[in-house]
Amino acid sequence: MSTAAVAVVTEPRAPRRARRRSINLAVGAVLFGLIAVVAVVSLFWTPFSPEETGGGRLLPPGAEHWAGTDRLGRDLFSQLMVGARLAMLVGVGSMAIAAVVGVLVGLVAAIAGPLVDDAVSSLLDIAIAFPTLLLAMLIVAWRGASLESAILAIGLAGSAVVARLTRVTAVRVLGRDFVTAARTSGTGVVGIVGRHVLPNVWPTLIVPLALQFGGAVIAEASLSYLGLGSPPPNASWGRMLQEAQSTVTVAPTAALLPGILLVMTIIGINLLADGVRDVADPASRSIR
Amino acid sequence: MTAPLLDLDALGIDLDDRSLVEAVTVSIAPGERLGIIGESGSGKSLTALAALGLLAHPLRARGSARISTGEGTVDAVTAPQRRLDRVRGAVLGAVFQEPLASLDPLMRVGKQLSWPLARHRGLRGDALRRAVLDALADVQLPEPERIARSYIHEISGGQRQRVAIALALAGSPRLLIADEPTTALDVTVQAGVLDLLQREVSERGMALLFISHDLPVVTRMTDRVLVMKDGRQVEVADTATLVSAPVDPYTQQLVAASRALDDLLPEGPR
Repeated sequence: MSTAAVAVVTEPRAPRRARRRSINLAVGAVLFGLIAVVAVVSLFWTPFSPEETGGGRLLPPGAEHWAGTDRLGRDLFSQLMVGARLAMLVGVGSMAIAAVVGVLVGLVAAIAGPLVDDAVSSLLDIAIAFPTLLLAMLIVAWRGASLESAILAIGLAGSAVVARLTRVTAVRVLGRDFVTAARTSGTGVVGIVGRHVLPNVWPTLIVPLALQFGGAVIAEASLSYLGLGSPPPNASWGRMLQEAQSTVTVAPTAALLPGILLVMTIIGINLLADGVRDVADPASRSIR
Repeated sequence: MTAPLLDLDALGIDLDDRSLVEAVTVSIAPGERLGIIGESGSGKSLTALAALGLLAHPLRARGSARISTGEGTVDAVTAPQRRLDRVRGAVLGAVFQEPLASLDPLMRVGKQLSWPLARHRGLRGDALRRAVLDALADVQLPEPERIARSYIHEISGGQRQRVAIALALAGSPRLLIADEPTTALDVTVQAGVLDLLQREVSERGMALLFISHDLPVVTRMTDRVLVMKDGRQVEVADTATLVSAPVDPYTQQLVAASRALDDLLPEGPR
């Protein structure tokens, strides 16, 4: 009954915003879904082996090689498919690292008391000010260039923002009366964090984590472009861009396609995040 | 007189080097109903939080707030939180002013209530589910099944406060601290919640620490009253004595104000 009341109150100004948010959500879901499907399919099937150098060199798109071939005669479409898989892997992997590390650090800062909080917060300030790519390069220099290094580096770089956000939100939740009420019924710190803080912090993290995904895909492409990402023969979109650079006048599609896919992925995930945020926006729902 | 359940001795609360509450000395015996009355900012709620050992970081307590656990006493001012976690809920329970804020918005009522029940009574599965419904029925909520499935924004203010009371009672505490439990409620709903509190307190033989700025309500709910003003203890007296023969000028003012209001009404609030 209360939901009906809310609907009535919201209706007069809702239609345009509602339409915009559902368009965002739909376009984002389609773009991102497409890439995700391609990534999954690439696990089982690609038209050619992405490493196979059998075809002619620098062929334009055609019936046999749908996206043409690169200067070593490898099928571009297959490489693009594998690139989608890598992008998803990097996005999910570094998002997970950012989430786990960031949430842990943020919770510790929020709970441990003023000394630890001040120390962690200053460190986070430095970490956030530090350029992601530079940090990633340092980690790559330490661990060697590999897909894992790239994921770890990007995830750690992203965790600072997540930690900051978690800390702020957790402090706010910890100050709420329901936490005091739970404490008065004898709930310990672990119970408070698990039952009340985390569930109340998650909603604020969904969108930033989704954006982290997009940022991670770009960062990985940049690292690969610089030769610091996953080494060949892994077909990262960033490395494809770099390889296509020297032949861009002869075979522009080899440079265009990875770029287009990158843009599709980033726009897709950002629109998706935006749509989810609009739908989940408490300000537009909790009219009471 | 038996040993007090809660014994506040020269309890003070500081914020940095500013003193917010000064030397509150009062004790509550088992089954006794003590009221704390005072205007906003007089330190009533802080005193209650200090007694629970729940003052938030920059706030600091002085003196002592000894809680009798049955096996000994724990001083809420000095005891470590882990020790207090075992006392809270089991010896002390608390209900706060704003039920919308004191319940988790993202957890269904039944789930929220099941935590303390599982913790204090060691219940699981079906027994736990039944205990949740019993607890909701005990605070006179209609359709316990529906309430248990609801989120707090789906139930009314009075129902929320009843849920909060059920939560506070889940560990069968021996002292219930009620901090302005009806201030945020409509007047008609207030009466029902006060009735419920009164009934639970007398049926369970619980002691009650009732905090309010509303003299008629305090008079109705308590045997003894502590009057606070600007963080100081003004007067402690039996409720009847306090109303009929207030000693301190501030208390006289309070009583007179409430009388004046009474005279304007066709009949008294009691």
